[in-house]
Amino acid sequence: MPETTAGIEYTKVAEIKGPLMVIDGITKASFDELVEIETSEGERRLGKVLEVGFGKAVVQVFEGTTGLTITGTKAKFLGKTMEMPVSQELLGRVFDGLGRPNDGLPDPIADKFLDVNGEPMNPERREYPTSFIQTGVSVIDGMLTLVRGQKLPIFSGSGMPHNILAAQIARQAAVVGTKEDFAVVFAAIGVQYSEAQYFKRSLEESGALRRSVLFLNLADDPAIERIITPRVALTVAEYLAYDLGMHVLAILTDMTNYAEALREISAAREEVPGRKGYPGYLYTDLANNYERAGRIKGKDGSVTQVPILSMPADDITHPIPDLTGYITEGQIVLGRDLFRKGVYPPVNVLMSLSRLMKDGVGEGKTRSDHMEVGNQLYDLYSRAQEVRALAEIVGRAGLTGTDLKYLDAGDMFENYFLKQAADENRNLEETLGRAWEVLSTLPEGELTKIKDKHVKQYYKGSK
Amino acid sequence: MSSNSALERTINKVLSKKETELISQIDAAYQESLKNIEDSKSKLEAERTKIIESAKKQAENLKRQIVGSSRLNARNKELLMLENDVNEAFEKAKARLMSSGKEESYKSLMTRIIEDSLPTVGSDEVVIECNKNDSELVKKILAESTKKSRIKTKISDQPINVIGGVRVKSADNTMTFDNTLDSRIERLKPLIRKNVARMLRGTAGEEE
Amino acid sequence: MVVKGRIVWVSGPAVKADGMSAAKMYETVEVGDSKLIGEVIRLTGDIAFIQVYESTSGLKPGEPVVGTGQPLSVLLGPGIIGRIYDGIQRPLDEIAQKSGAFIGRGIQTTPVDMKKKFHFVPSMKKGDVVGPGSILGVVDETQLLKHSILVPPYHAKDAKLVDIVAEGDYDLEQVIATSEKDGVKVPLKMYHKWPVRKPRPYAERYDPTVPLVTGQRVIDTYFPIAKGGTGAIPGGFGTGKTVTMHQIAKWADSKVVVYIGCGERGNEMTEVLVEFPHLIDPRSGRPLMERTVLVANTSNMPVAAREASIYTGVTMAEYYRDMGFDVVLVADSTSRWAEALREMSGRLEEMPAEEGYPSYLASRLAEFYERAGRVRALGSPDRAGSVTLVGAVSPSGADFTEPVTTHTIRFIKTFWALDTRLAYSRHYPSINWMQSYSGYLEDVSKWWKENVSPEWYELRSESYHILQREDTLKEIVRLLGPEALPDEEKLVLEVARMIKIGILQQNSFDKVDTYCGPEKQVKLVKLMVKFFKEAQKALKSEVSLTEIRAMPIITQLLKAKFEIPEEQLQKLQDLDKELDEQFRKLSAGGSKTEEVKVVA
Ligand SMILES: Nc1ncnc2c1ncn2[C@@H]1O[C@H](COP(=O)(O)OP(=O)(O)OP(=O)(O)O)[C@@H](O)[C@H]1O
Ligand SMILES: [Mg+2]
Repeated sequence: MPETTAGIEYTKVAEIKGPLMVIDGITKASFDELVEIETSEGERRLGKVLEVGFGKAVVQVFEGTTGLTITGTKAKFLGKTMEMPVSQELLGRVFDGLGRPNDGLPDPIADKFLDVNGEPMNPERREYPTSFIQTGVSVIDGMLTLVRGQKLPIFSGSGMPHNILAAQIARQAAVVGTKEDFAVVFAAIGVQYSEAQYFKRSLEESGALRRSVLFLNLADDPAIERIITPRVALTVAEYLAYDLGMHVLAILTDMTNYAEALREISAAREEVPGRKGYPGYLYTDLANNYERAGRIKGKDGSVTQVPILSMPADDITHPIPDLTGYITEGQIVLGRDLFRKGVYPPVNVLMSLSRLMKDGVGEGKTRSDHMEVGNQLYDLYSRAQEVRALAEIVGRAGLTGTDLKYLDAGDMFENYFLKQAADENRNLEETLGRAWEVLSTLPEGELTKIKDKHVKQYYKGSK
Repeated sequence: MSSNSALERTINKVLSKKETELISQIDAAYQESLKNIEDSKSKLEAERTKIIESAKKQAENLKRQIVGSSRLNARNKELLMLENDVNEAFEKAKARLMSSGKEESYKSLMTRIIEDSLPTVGSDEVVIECNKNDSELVKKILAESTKKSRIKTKISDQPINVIGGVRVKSADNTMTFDNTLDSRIERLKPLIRKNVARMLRGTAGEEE
Repeated sequence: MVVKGRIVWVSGPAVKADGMSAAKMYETVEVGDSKLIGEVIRLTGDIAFIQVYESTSGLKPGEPVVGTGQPLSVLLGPGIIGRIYDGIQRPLDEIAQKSGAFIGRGIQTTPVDMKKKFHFVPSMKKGDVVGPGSILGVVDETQLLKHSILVPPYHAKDAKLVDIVAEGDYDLEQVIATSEKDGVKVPLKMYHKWPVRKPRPYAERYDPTVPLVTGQRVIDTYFPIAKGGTGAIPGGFGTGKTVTMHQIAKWADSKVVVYIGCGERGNEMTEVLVEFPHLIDPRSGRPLMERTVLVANTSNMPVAAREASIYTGVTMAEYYRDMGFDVVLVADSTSRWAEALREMSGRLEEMPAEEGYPSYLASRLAEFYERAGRVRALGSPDRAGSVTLVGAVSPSGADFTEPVTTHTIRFIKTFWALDTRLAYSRHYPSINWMQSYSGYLEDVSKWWKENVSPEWYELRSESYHILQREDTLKEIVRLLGPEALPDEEKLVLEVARMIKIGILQQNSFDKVDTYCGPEKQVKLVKLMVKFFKEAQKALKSEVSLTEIRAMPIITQLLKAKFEIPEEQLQKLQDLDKELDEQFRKLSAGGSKTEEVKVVA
């Protein structure tokens, strides 16, 4: 039940700097408390307490401090942390980056109000994720299997088709089966209108919009609001999953914008920075979002996260992709080379990884040779890449017969296995079939990662 | 001669062999072209089914889209209507509150509100604001209870336009505590909306 | 006297309180109305800086802070094994019972079930002399573990046992013995408490000379760690730190395993919880969970407790060491612990050193790794135990020159460097064999010689030499292509490839390959070395490299690691014969060409 006691409104603003406001004369305020700010023109904004002492509180203003004045600004401390109203009715709705309606419809009628920060899931109560999600994308299903409750980000770069891929995953994984227990939560974090629109249209065309909840903080929306956008989105995702038993796919794009908003606040607080000016707690902060994926023992639903982030200058060692990779259960990395070659999806398979694949595939789940085939494909492509580099120096003539086979197999891998259309939905049999066709161009003795019995069963090449 | 005839025979043999070969070749070619036609026929067939399939797929998609959107639109209309009803119910409730001002229960509510509000502001000197009708009541309540509190109070001479309750300000005007009925209702609004919506939708009764 | 102060400032996990002049450094305190657990980490005047182990959301200045008089301590006694704790020894299952699937705040728990009865068998009798570390008796903590009941290290020396219970079932709150010295009687129970930041004392330190056998070929054969030793495993994300830690926790031949998930993924802890009860210890035949303790403070749990989790874990490890057991502790990841230090230091506005880490980072790391060792425990009977410490390091940007990695290297003796490039090419475990080293190699070689094979050291050196040669040849190949090399050197490349695939690479997720016993390790290496020598001979006798490369034995050797399980090691003998046979055939073919030459 919502609080019945009111918050106190203060008018003594001591300082405004960057996205922060320091308020004096505080008698009652708590850490993390939600603050409603009223400008001298009567406009209302939201903020939260970052730091509080006797007589003083530092408040972060989500919609920015532009236009705020030292005199005439009022700050009302609401006696609660930021909450999101949740109910089944959220499906099919569009909200802004703070979780307020953005579709001309009224506030949702809440089943309950949830603290957007969530609480850490108890590892003892987690259900280990093991159910395979067929995305219909060969490279993902065959080599980077996604499982329910996993967090698997897409590392991309400017101009690359991460949105097309994410939308394809959402359409084909969550929607095509149109099982009623699926839902998509989409959070746009500082992305362009057209990107958000693309996503919305894609969901609409597959009839999945009414099973989706959209949160839009666009490029021209307040930057600090982005701190909240993934949190409200994940709060809703958790509710749909654990209260209503749905399998939720949460897509958060672009987490780089999120991290930049965090850096802005940190800079304004004059904190000692870690790498590249990002705060030392960036890891923990990102983890607080990413770890809100998973399954819970005894509950039906799941939250699967596909965060998208663009690597500044395509650099995977940049703190944002780096720390993300340290938290998520693998990563799908898009590669500039393949993109230039016109290969879709341009997944740099060697840099990509799904850590939960081993638990989601195999006998009884997919097919007993699945994992080994995936491993052998990695091996094949990695050898092919080595040979390619070598061939550039010494030419084809300097290569051994086996090397040449790898060279061709590498091409076939890219063109026949990796490459597919953005609306092409391949089932797992087809994906593995294609994989074996590629593998069968190598001599049998090269398949060192595959058990003899599987080689016997599926290998189609010559000795 | 014999050699000649032998030669001829051989030629003939060769020729006939050629002939049969030729014939068989022609035949083979014929057969092959037949097969080709057969093949291209089935290829065509495949092509056709592919086109049909994709058209079907598109139609399917379109259907899904249309069905999806129309269901969503219907739901959204319902939400808007419901909101109207909720607001109406809300306004009625407010009006009723406004008119019920003079009941005895209101005095005890007002007493509680004032007693809660004074220390909350945390200032030694406060100004109390209320609506025109309530100022007498507030005066009375304060007179009855000032002994208990060390806080100096003053009633503002500017009445505020609210249903009831009070707003307490620190004397230096840096802090305000809004404890009017209006703000209380506003805070309770989500809960009230939920209950009103339930009643309007006819889903079973109150929650705890 | 109980300290009572008042919160004056809150910023994330850091809280300042006044009225705290009587508080002690590192004292545990209850913070706020909801009694969050915190620890005093700095005192200035009557202001205490407190790190709070739970979320401080909603905490207000003015709320009380109450001292407990105790430093942060763990409870040590039977009932710890098999449990999963948070960073300050609160059982996560009990927290779940109280607050559901998500972790609530201010939850009171007890580390072990105080009411559970254990069957106590006394090993001392009335009148015996007792002192710190004396073993009063034993209980079966699990079927795998006989838990010795220890007299606490802080107990007086040379006291007399005036009373001890008979064999029977007792719970932890019952007094099982009483000691007396100078007229002071001390009741003894089956547990005691110990402050986590203080190393438990021991009688004497020994040199580590026995290897910790992990069943991981690249570790045991090439870069071994000794029982009581220290090791670090740095690597970028996804290079295999956690998998390696899990492997050590599963297969190491130690008596007790303490697994600390420090600021890492929730699912990884769940994985251990799901897997270990079903995995059978190859030596005892019992589920691995019966020797394992988990400390889980995942990345989304409060950072301050992350800092404490390392100490909580190592204190429990030392406790089992003191019973005379070999204990291995793996901490994944020490970088997250260092980040927790950095975050608290930042909130206290301390002067930062490199990359914002506090200047005392190095000394804290040193103190931690110093708690490893093989020791003679205090008290009688005489017994030796060990704590082996293995820490994962997660360098930002996989850059080994960052502070946590560089400082860690100073205090450890085994260095397993994970290589992102190897991981990209799916060479797992991606331990770089050129960058890694072990300071225990010579120390443990005696054990290998005596217990496994007299040739161990030579085989290791010979095979490693092939890898070293390959490493230098690779440069040339990169410039000129492999065909530019003479056959003899091409053979080095070929055999190095075989060693990489057949020995160094080890698939943790393969039923057979996941564990490779010492005997199998030696035999596999021996086969590779033998192949190399035979092939060299064959080359000399004019067999072509193409023929050697086409030998079917190669694929068999490469697959032996997963096609031949531990119970069928005789199959390696067959492989050995097969190898001889195939080379015999080759050189038989080769001798013909020789004849032709002689004729010509
Ligand atoms: N020995 C191995 N056998 C098979 N696969 C392995 C092995 N080691 C690592 N892998 C693969 O690499 C993946 C990443 O390994 P792991 O989770 O241990 O990385 P990490 O170094 O702990 O990364 P992070 O720092 O992000 O936690 C695993 O999920 C698995 O797919
Ligand atoms: Mg890890």
